[in-house]
Amino acid sequence: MIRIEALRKEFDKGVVALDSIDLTFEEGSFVALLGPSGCGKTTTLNCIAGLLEPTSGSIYFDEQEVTNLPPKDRNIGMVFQSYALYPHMKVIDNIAFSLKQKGMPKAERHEKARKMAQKLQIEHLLERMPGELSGGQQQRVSMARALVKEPKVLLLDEPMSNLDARLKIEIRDEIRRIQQDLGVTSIIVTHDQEEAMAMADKIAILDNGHIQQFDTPEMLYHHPANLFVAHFMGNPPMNFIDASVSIREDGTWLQGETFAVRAPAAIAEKLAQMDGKAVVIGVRSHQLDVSLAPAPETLELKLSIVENLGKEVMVSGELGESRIRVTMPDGFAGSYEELTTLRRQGGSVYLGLQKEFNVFDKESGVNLIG
Amino acid sequence: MKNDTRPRFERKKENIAVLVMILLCIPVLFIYFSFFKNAFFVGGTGAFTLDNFRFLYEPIVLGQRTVQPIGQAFTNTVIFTAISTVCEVVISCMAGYALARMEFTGKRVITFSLLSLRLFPGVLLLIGALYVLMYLGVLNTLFGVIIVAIALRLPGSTFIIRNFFTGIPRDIENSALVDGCNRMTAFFQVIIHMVKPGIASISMFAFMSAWSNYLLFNTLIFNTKTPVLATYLRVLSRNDQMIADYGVFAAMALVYMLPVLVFFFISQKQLMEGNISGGKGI
Ligand SMILES: Nc1ncnc2c1ncn2[C@@H]1O[C@H](COP(=O)(O)OP(=O)(O)OP(=O)(O)O)[C@@H](O)[C@H]1O
Ligand SMILES: [Mg+2]
Repeated sequence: MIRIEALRKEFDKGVVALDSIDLTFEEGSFVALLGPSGCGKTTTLNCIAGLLEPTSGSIYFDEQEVTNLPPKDRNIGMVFQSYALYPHMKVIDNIAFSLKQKGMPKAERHEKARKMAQKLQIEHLLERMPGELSGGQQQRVSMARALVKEPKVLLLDEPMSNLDARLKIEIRDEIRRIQQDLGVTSIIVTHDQEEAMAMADKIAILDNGHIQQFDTPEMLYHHPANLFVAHFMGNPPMNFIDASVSIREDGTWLQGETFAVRAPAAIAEKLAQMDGKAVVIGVRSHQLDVSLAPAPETLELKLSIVENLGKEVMVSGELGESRIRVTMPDGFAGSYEELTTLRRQGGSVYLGLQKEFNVFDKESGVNLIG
Repeated sequence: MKNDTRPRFERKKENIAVLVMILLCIPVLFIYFSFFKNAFFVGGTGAFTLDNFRFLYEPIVLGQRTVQPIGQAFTNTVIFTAISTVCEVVISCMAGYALARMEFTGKRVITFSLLSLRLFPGVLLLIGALYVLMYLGVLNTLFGVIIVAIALRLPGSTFIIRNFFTGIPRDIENSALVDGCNRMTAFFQVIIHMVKPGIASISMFAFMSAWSNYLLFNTLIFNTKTPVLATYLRVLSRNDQMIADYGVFAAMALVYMLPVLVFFFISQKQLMEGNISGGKGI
């Protein structure tokens, strides 16, 4: 288990890279740090590794405080974005390097390195120099090097950003498999939300040095804590519609410029005290009903693009200020041709909200439902 | 050339370039030619001789003067060169690493003054150095010259090697730290290997400058008890009759030059290989 408490890191000239970070990683879990460029992911990882000294706050491995221990005493394995293999050593010596530092005799450490290489299917490369390997092979070598010392924690800093798309998926599965085999607590840094969703048990979303949400992929997808997370998670992205809360006798309404819909009971309950509040409705494509005929309590979406994606048809258009993208649900009445004709005539489709969607406070961005 | 696919006009230009180069080389080649001729052949008859190399093992008489064998000067030069090269390389590596990677106050000032000292002609400092040595009581000794020689060269080589250290990807160093090294072991097991080309180049320059150092010995040593090769050669050219014996002179120059050539060929392999990256493209 790793526990981070009130971690703060300032660089020179008052750059605050991290502020009040609190995280707990369960033993054996796989956690992703996700966020846009410059949000402090690498800084967090380097603080855990001991490569950077936090300005304040503390880090515990199990119950032991490691905040001020040098990296070599923390028993961590690390994979770097650039792989960082030692260019003057053969692959086998690269892998066995950390064992050499522990004073393990040569035969023994080569034996261990060979075993680890087998796991990663790189035995045939052991006698080569790093410069003679492809990117994917270097990646595996650096994985083997990080794992051979049987670390307490495995840290991966964007390990796949230099690989092509197909190899990325292959290595991603490989990392996941090995992580589960060895049961080592792992933290991966990435700015690719799909990668994070596919690999991690839990994801910590960072922005601007703050944790926005730390949760399972499902929770992040269905119940984002705020607008930032909602914008960040999920593909296709969530649709956002400006509205305001209006509480009347016949229920709680969400009132927009061109529409008014009654909120379902569960949501209405949460909005009970918020009459007049400016909100943003966050709704994913699959949470919308689409029809060609106008009906009460629907949102009129003037078509601007109709795309045929092969397995489904997607339409998009402007609703007030915001752009909405919707894929047509299974069994939708209109065909692709009909929709294109409709678009040419300047027509609209009508969107109905289902039972579940999210409502955010427009001002603070906080999710009022989740 | 079978695989020459360049357009004709380019080949024509190349021919002109080659011609110009040959013309420019002729005078230089002529100097080399007469140099070897002087060293190995008797002036009038043109017969092959090693007579000019007698200074290697016995005193020789030139006009009214006797020139001592080269042994003493050679030993002094070797000692001087070895010590100052080793010290220069070791000190500048350590200083360069500190400037490239560590955080301490005054770092920028030091880095900047290294650069400005490098641009400052060392000769101007000699008078000052003379007084300092006098004060320390090491004037007129080999030790004193060594100190000054190292001090004058350190800014330059530190600056050069610092840039090599700066070029090492931080990830590699971090990786070594995570893998169980402290700064010291990381330095010797990983970092140093990645600046090999830099070390080769500064030691090359350190060696050449020490080996051919004339100025310091001429200014800081007043007697002939501590001769080095450079001052030894001068004795010869300051012949009483104002006529130098070019045969002996050329022979000595040859001996003087040899170690530099050897050193160059040893270190140039290191100079040429320059791989310091640890992975793909980063
Ligand atoms: N050594 C440093 N000195 C000053 N500021 C720094 C330093 N390292 C990082 N920063 C700043 O700290 C912030 C966080 O940087 P960090 O490297 O953690 O971002 P990141 O999330 O890893 O981004 P990326 O996805 O681009 O790698 C950035 O604003 C960066 O400019
Ligand atoms: Mg980063």
